[in-house]
Amino acid sequence: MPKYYLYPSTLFAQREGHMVTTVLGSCVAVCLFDETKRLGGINHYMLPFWNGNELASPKYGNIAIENLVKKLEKLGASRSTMVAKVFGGANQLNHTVGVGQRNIKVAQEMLEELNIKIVAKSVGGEKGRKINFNTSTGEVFMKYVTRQGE
Amino acid sequence: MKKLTEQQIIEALSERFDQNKQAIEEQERLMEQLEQVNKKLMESESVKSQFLSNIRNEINNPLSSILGLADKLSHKPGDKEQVMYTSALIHQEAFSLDFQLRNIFTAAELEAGELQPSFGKVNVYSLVEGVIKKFDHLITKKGLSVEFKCTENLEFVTDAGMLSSIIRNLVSNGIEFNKDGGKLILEVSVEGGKKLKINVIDTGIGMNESDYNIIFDRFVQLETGVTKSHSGHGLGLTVTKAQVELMQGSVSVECIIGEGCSIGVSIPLAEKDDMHTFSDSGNVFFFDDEDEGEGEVF
Repeated sequence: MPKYYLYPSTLFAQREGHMVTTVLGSCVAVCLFDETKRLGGINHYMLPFWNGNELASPKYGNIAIENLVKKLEKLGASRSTMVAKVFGGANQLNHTVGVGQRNIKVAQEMLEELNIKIVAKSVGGEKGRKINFNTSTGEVFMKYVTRQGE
Repeated sequence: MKKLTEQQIIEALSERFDQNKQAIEEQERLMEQLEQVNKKLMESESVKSQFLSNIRNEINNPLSSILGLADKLSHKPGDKEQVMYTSALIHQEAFSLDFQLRNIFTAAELEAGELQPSFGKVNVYSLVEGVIKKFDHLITKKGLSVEFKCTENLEFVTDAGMLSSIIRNLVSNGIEFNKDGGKLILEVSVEGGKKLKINVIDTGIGMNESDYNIIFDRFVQLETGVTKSHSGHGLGLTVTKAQVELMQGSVSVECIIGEGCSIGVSIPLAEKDDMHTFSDSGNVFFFDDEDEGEGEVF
């Protein structure tokens, strides 16, 4: 299966199954999977809401989630058969206090609004996470990772 | 039921009133924040539509010039000198069009979240030198002298395409906002083998500190309106910042009013496949696969 490393502020969804890896601190990744079409996609956002100043990119949760849903729908997935798995949002540094929590909150609120059920999650805490998402089975393998430097 | 004295009732009531007041204040504060965000979003939408209407000037006009000039070349080319002159004009218009379009497409890719860095060893010296050469006609037109400070054949592991786009925009900015006959300085170095530092210094009019962040906002140019003297959409530095951040780097600005500006970019070394770095509000973290335990399946 092809591998793909997902960078912060980007998202991934393709018809062909991939093993997507990403590493999360206070960032959040939402893995969406259409259980009927067996089709998945993932984002990796750093901040909860777009500020209207920079590019309206998936650096921001509200844009990352909406764009991922749209992209999966374009590929043939349907919102009604999509489920979500949410990871990340750790509190890692003093000056990012609250960012992790707000990142988690925006995922929960937007997915609820979109009627997409969160079937699994590992969020918050102090540690970073490394996840591997199999986009053709919807499975997510997660490891906690410790910070080695600032 | 416990009987309360009048005093206790008054105290309990006043406590509730206080809580109520606090809740209302909190709500008012949130409302104010919401209004501010809403205003910003509306402003952002209006600059976007302004941008779309500007496209006519920035894209259609050079394209019409190219068509007209190319037509002239094929029908009434004139002597060698005239052909050279017309070709130079075509090149100039096409160059500006290509520059604008690249930024628009990059912005679109960034907004779609589809721009992914691809790292490899890059000869930074040749790359920067190549970019400067491409701007030769604009440098000459403005009578600028260029100083390129970099160790010959300096190499760094990074994304060549993104680095090229970053340098292109910094150089273009340094030329556009320079004074005629001014100086354009490019300082490129690698700090401790781990960080690529680029500084592009111009000798333009500079700007206020309060404008430092605005120049990175999308579709924003400090000078606006139909009389604005600088070309472009105000996308160049926005795209630059987003690309630098995608590579976990940062941008900085320093200006002296009347003397010029220095825009700095710092990009960390890309890590090997098994060890990734990511930025968390400006801090780079290192993670290793072997860190902890077997992991969990969700």
